[in-house]
Amino acid sequence: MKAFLSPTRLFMLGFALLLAANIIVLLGVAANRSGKPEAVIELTERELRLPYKTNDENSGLALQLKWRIIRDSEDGISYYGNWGSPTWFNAQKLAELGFTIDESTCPRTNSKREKVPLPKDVFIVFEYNGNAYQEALQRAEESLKKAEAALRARGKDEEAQNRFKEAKERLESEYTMASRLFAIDAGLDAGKLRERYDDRSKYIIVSGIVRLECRSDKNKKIVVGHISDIRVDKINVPLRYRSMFDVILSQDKSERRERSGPRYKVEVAYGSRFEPWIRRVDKLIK
Amino acid sequence: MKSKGIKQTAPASKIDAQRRADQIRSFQAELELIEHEKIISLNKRQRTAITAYHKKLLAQLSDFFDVDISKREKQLSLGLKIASFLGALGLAASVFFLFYQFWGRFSVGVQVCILIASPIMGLVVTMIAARREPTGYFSKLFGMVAFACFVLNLFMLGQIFNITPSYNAFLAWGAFAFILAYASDTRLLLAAGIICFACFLSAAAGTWYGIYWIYFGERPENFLLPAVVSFLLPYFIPHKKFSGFDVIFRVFGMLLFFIPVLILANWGMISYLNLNNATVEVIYQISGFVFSAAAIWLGIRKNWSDVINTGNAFFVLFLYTKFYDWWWDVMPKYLFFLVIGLTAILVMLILKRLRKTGMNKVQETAK
Repeated sequence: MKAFLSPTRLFMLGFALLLAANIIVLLGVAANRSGKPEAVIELTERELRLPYKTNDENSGLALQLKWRIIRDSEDGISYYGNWGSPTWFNAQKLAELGFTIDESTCPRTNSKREKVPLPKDVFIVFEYNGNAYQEALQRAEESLKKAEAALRARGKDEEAQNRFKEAKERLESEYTMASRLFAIDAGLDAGKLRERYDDRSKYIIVSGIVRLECRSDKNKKIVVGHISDIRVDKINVPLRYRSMFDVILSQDKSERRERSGPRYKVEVAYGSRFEPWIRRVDKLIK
Repeated sequence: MKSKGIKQTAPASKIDAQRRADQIRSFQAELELIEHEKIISLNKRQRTAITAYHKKLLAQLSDFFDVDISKREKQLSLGLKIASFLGALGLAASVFFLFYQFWGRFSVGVQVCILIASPIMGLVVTMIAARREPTGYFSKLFGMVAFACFVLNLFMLGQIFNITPSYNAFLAWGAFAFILAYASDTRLLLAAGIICFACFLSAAAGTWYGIYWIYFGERPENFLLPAVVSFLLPYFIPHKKFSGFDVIFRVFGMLLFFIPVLILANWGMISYLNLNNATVEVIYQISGFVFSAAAIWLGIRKNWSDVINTGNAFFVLFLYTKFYDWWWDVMPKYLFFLVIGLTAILVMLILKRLRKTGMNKVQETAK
């Protein structure tokens, strides 16, 4: 023991550990990026946003993946990120993902045995510019029609005017800047999901975390699924693609104005370990 | 950590050597007092023999363990320890911010090279410092910086290549912290190693139950196994050669045990136990009292002051948490704090009684 713990041996062991850890990490990166990518998708500023605030003490830059869900809502809004539960994420889907759903899962009254449910690691399918986006557009259009009708009926009512203005802006945003990337399904087997969603330029499969939630609905509790997070939601921008983003960031600093459309598009590849990287960046406006 | 040259009752670690040096100083002061009071008087030969023996012993202890021989040296050493700790924190933070400040301006290849080279350089500097400077203050400082560089290394590789976070990083960080701690005899790195390993084991245990590892804290019971391992490790593998390592293992073992128990004693809904939440809370409240009392008993029995103090702190914490649950809403505040004060007096009386019993036993043994 004494000889084994001699400082010289320990330092040598330290060197070996440093090298081994770095080799394992870099081999993992190489494995992810080797061969044919799992998916290659072209996203725009609408789905990959620059940080709201840049930090002078961090010269790195990462693009944030913006994704949405279609949920049951009376206001017609298709929410961003993990706000609410997607319409497809019901008790049956939760059971498919390995959650135990029985009578005790969401009891009618507050049970003393109720536990905080544990999150699970699953694969989530995101659809780019597909049916889910069309539904979001349709909802925004209907919402505007309703607001317009209410405005006509109630005349110069301030609330009706505000609602009309909001609905109009929302529809405009759906056409110009809102993300078209929607979470549409989840599963435990990435292979099976890929068979079902085989267009690799339209559907991406990523690793994410989901939870079971109990919601109150008309005096009863229902079980719904909730996407807590996706495991890699920021994509690092390598130096060779930085110059264009630096120009945009400096413009943003000097003038704050409403954007009428995305300013760049990014080709993102997802590898065998479902980890993304940037393959190409193009400017969209003059 | 050389110890050749000190033949009789050779101290195993720097802490033991310092204790021996303090003992010699106390003996010299007491002898002077006894002679002044004319209780005994040593002849010249005896005095010379003792003085020569102590002088030689102190010189050897100073040579091999760099112990503080005078009060002034001790004060300066404390200053050095504080400066070394602050220096390590400052340099580690500086490495982080330095990299963050400039990494975006480098190509991926350069970023990777810097990230891999920095902990290697940190390790080389630690190794050189450990060989050149026997006091170990600089090797401890550079060891901390090397550890920070390695944390930065894996963390930033994750960011650069958009890698899915993995709890295996804790295993690598923990192993590196342990290696550096044992190589440079640094308790702070040992503590970092214990925390990293506890996170790794807890995340692994959580994953076996189907939790995504980042959420392992949502079931505090995941920490109980690492806590037991940390507490029992120095019992089975003695660490006499290292300064205060057994204390760090025991204290962190207790923290990793009692903090989850304290949380579960108040929030039964985050337990693995498939029981009524109130029952779970009662189980953990009782466990908290029983195990903290057992820790005090064990500490007294084994003469482990660290275990006694930690056990005491948690026993009082469990007691006050219960008082809060029972009485905060129903009692006027002056009465609530009066009860707290009276309980503290009761604890003092019990401890005083225990102390008196202990002293009586010592006196009886002396007779």
